[in-house]
Amino acid sequence: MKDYIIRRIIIVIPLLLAISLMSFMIMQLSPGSYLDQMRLSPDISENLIREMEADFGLDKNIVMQYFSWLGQILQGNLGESFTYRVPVSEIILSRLLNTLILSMAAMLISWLISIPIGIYSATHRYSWLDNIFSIFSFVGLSIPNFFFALLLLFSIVRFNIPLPINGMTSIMYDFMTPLAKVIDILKHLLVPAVVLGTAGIASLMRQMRGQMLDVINKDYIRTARAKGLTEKRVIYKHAFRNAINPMITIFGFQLSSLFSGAALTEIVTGWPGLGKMMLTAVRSKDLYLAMAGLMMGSLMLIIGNLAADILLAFNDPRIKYE
Amino acid sequence: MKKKIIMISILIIFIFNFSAAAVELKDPWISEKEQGEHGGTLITTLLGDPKTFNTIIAKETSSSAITDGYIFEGMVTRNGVSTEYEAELAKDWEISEDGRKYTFYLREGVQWSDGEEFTADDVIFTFDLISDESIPTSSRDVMKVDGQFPEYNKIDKYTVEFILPTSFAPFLNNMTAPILPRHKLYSIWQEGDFNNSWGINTEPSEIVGTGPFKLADYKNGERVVMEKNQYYWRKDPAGESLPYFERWIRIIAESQETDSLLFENGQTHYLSVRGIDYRRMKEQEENSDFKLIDAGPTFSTNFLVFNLNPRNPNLEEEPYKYQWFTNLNFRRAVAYSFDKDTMINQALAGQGSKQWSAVSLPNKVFLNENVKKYPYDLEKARDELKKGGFEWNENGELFDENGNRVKFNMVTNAGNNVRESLLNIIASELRELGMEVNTNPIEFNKMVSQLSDEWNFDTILIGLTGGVEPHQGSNVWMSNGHLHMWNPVQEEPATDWEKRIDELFVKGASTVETEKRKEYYDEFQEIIAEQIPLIYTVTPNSIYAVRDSLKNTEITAYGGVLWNIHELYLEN
Repeated sequence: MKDYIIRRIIIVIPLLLAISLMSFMIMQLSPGSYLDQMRLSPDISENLIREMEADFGLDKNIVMQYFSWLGQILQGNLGESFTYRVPVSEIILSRLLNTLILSMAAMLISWLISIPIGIYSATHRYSWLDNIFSIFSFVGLSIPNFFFALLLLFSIVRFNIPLPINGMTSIMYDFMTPLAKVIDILKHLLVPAVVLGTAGIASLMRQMRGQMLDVINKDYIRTARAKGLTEKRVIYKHAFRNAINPMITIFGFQLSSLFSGAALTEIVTGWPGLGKMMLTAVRSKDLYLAMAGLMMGSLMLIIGNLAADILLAFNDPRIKYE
Repeated sequence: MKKKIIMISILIIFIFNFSAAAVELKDPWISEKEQGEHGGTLITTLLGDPKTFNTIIAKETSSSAITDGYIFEGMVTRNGVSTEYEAELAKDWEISEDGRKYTFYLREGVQWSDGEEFTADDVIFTFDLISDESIPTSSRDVMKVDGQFPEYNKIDKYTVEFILPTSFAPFLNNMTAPILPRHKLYSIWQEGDFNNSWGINTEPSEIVGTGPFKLADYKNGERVVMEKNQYYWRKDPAGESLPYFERWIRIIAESQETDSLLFENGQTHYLSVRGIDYRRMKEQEENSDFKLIDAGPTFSTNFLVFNLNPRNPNLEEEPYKYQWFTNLNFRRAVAYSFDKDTMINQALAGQGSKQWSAVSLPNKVFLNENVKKYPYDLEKARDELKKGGFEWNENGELFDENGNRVKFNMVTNAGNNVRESLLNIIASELRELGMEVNTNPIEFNKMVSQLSDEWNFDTILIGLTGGVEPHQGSNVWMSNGHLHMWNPVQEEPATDWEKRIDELFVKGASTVETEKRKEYYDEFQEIIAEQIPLIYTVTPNSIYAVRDSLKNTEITAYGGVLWNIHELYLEN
């Protein structure tokens, strides 16, 4: 097991290098550069644009640019954002925690709700409650997040519900007691977390239901029942343990979204997370900021996968890594 | 013991008085509006985070919207209603008869928000920064006259002069540049760190200006909090220091939907109403505590530009396109097919104005309303096409005299709803005329590179935001400009009318009297309307929903709601 983990970690290095090379090239080879916005401003001369190009190092060839960026990264320097002119790490740090709070809350909501519902739906297949859950999950799957968020915000305004509609803290936040601060953030968290959470519930619930249905019809479940085990024991000890494996893999994938944020939901609810910032960075070609975001996402994806594999080994004694 | 305390208190009072008396404001400005109530918090929204607080290197309006006019001020400014020049940090100025020497007399006793006195040294320092080639600022190039940065000198503590190589009227517009504090930034600049100073991670108290507000707090992605500058030089009628507001909170609401909801929820004091929200807001207006105010057309423009560039790489394969686009009859036919009423109704939800001239509609100083207009008339458009040698086959498809089917692309940037719907309206009319038009919204960056270095487009629907000073558009209108979109960076003007525009812009810039300048710019607008290398569409009107409690407002499209923020106050 230990050897396996070490081997996996060693593989990460060339993988990350390849990902970074790919994303750097794609960023650079797509048309336009960060300075394009400025090219359309009547006040800015060609000269100034050329000076800035040189200042940012955008006039060198792409391979050179890549290696100098790589060199910086290896020294722990993520570079400087073109837009903000401050180190990329500072910009990301200022929003990292906010994104983490939101993604964790959303994940918690979606997993805590979807797993029990999935199991219930599978064991009570085609009951009226199962049908209601199915309808709910299809609606949840098909409704776009930003639209759902707008609907919620609109109802808050229309029906005068005492909930905030924008941001993460209220105006008086700085003058609150610590407890009031926590409550304030939770209030603000409600809409975005529910929006992102329900989007997750729908698909997770269907997954869980499908997996459970697969397992429930297996021979060993029949055997367990025939042995006279209680239904609870059959479901949770025998069926659930076998059905959960694919869910663990999904969990690993979801870990990667912890830091990448959810741009549209963040924009609509005004949550100061990383998603919107990274979207702007990619679109405006703020190279180093966008690269840092992409690399962070990739790293989390790799770590998430690794974590999922290890969890799988714990859950399922049949899986052994040599 | 008691005596000692009294002594110390007296001493403290003495020192305090002494330091307060050190700077005495000799030239305050007194509000002529009704006396307001001091205190209260103004709450408004911003559509994006600031990228820096360093206004000299700031390039996005999301940054300058925080600083300029509120934290930093220029020597002169423009009145939000008349758009004419007004004294700000300079109480007065003089222009020599030959138009080459500008002398500014600064207000005496103005203080920075940290209590230091504002003097001519700060002005000199600011222009040292702007002229420093290692600082990437857009202010430097516009300051240059004949390629030279003007000479600037400190005459005494409260007087500075600028000497230009030749007479250059737009120069005064540059004097609206925000002045920065020498005492805070000089050493940073000397160490070569200016470009990275005053970023968004700066301690708010470090950012010092002369404006009505100072920065109190910035929460990334959430809000900017500003506080009253207690040393501000504008006074209310009772002689107390303005602004009336104690605090000003600016919530960052990146989506305009959320912006509207915040206003409807009663959380903000005004809202810039979008066309599509107009009807909903109008319905609510009656039973609520706000009014809708139509401030008229904005400075933003949308136009269709033809590629008249002989260097277009696609011309090798399709040389006839150049023939069409340079055919004046063809361009006029397109102009006659612009159904601007439909554009206003569909793209701007009824809240817009038709634009005919190259100068933006709210520009009261320079707009020429008597230019050639092309009201919607497909018959006239067909006449123009006939005159231009085009003909139709039996299916109504249009061909040029050499038998080439008239077929071209029309692009705009994806994601701009107004432009996308304008594009469709234009294309459907042109199809009526028998043309085959491919409309295609593309990524903004791609559009810019087509426009500025690839030159391989057919037609583009795009917009620029104008200003009051016409010379600011010289990069667009002069034939050597890089934004002369139909045929950029020409060595020699390709046509006579472009040559004439070049001349008019040179004359317009070197003449000081506004009346005279207006004549030149009038002729320029007539030429553009005659030749229509680009055809203007419609301009959205700016409509504001403003709470009744906000008083002393004088809302215009140019100045918005907040241009006189120092005079605004909240009732109760």
